[in-house]
Amino acid sequence: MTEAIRAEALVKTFGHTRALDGLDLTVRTGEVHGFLGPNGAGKTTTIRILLGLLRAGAGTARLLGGDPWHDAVTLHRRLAYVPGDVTLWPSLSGGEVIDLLGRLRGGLDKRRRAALLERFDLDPRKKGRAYSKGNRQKVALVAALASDVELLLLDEPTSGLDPLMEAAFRDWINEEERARGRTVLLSSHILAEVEALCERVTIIREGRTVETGTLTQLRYLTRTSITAELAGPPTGLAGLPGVHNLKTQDGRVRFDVDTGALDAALRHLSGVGVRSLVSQPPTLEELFLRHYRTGQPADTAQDGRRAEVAR
Amino acid sequence: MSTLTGSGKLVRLILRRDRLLMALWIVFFCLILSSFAASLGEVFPTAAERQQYADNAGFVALYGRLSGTSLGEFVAWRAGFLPVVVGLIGLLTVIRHTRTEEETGRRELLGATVVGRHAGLAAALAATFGANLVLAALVALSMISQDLPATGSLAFGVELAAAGLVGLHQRDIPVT
Repeated sequence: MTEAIRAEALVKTFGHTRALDGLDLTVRTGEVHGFLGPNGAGKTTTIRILLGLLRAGAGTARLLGGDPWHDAVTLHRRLAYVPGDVTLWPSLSGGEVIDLLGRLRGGLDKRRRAALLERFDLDPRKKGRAYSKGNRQKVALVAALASDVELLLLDEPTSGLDPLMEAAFRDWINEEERARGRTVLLSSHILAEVEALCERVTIIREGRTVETGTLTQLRYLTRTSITAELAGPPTGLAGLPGVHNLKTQDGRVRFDVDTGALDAALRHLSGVGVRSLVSQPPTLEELFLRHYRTGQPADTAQDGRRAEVAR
Repeated sequence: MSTLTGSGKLVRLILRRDRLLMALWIVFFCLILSSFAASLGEVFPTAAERQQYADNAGFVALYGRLSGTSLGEFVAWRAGFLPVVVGLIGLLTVIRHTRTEEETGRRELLGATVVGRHAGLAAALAATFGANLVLAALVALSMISQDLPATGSLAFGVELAAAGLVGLHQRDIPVT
């Protein structure tokens, strides 16, 4: 399988701030890749380097087989970008902007443009100044998705969209882009979106890659929550490896268990006698929160409590 | 020159955005020049009257001495503040299409398309240059239409355009 994007040990500093501190990112051709990280983690900086808008201080980046900085113009024929915060020209209508960006990119599929306008329920005749945040976002999305390119760089593309439009965006990516086999790099902090769309995920924090892999691989690193009503006291459960946060109350137990230790824990429960059992699959959110907090001082009471819950 | 790729399309964008604004400014300068020529010629018909008007200490401080008493020279002298205005407009136009675009983030939207790194600046300069050329031509025409000499009218138009290009304030071109 070929790679659409490969970035290795990217470093970018702005004065004393290290926005990127050895970031690695690999996106395979044809996949929808989730790019996750808290605010200020360096997602946008990475995308700007990939677009050749910024120059990396150190490290290497390859995009569609070219150098993002030196081959920017030729590479831009093959990609489309949606920024997280879209500003439009106040005097230009949405339709004019879509056509302008299409012209500048060198190609727009008229049929898909019409389909997207309908799907996103966007009126292209309104002027830029009359659009809400969500509608400005839609203009950039329609322009990017309707273009004839092989790579889409989407920086928090659904910020400002209402839930209905978020769903429309997900459907479009799942139906259209997957069928066309386009590569998508989707930066986001909406986990449900990433879980619904992406095959592989890269999680970054403070300019560094902390986790990368398929959703299944990442889920393996997380824990399943079990709530069970037992016939007797759960003696010895707390001593099992991989069992965390055990709480017992009136014959009910609640605990989190590492995916690898799930089998042993369930065997132990059925030995005691199970009356009812609820198991919650590991969510990406837990993994996400765990990474977000590691190494961060719990400076407020709230942070401290959340950190405890996560452990 | 791949750093200039897409400049033409960006010029088109600038003209699309500023077509009304640019047209209004150009018409404004043409009107000022033709009305100066008409009214100053009427109020100060003789060389002596023009010289007396220009010898006012306030005017001397602002515009310098009158270099000749023909109507053309008199109008060009009295319109001595216009190059500053044109220079400012040129400056603001270039800022509007470069720095402002960067600050609002629209530059990023364009920078991700097939546009060279210097295309934005090139387009802003080219569009301002073009608008100034049109200004020079139309100002010259409006002065000629008031029976001022063609060479001097053209020189004055070019003076305004030059000021618009480099903020150059060259006031004492005699219109003869």
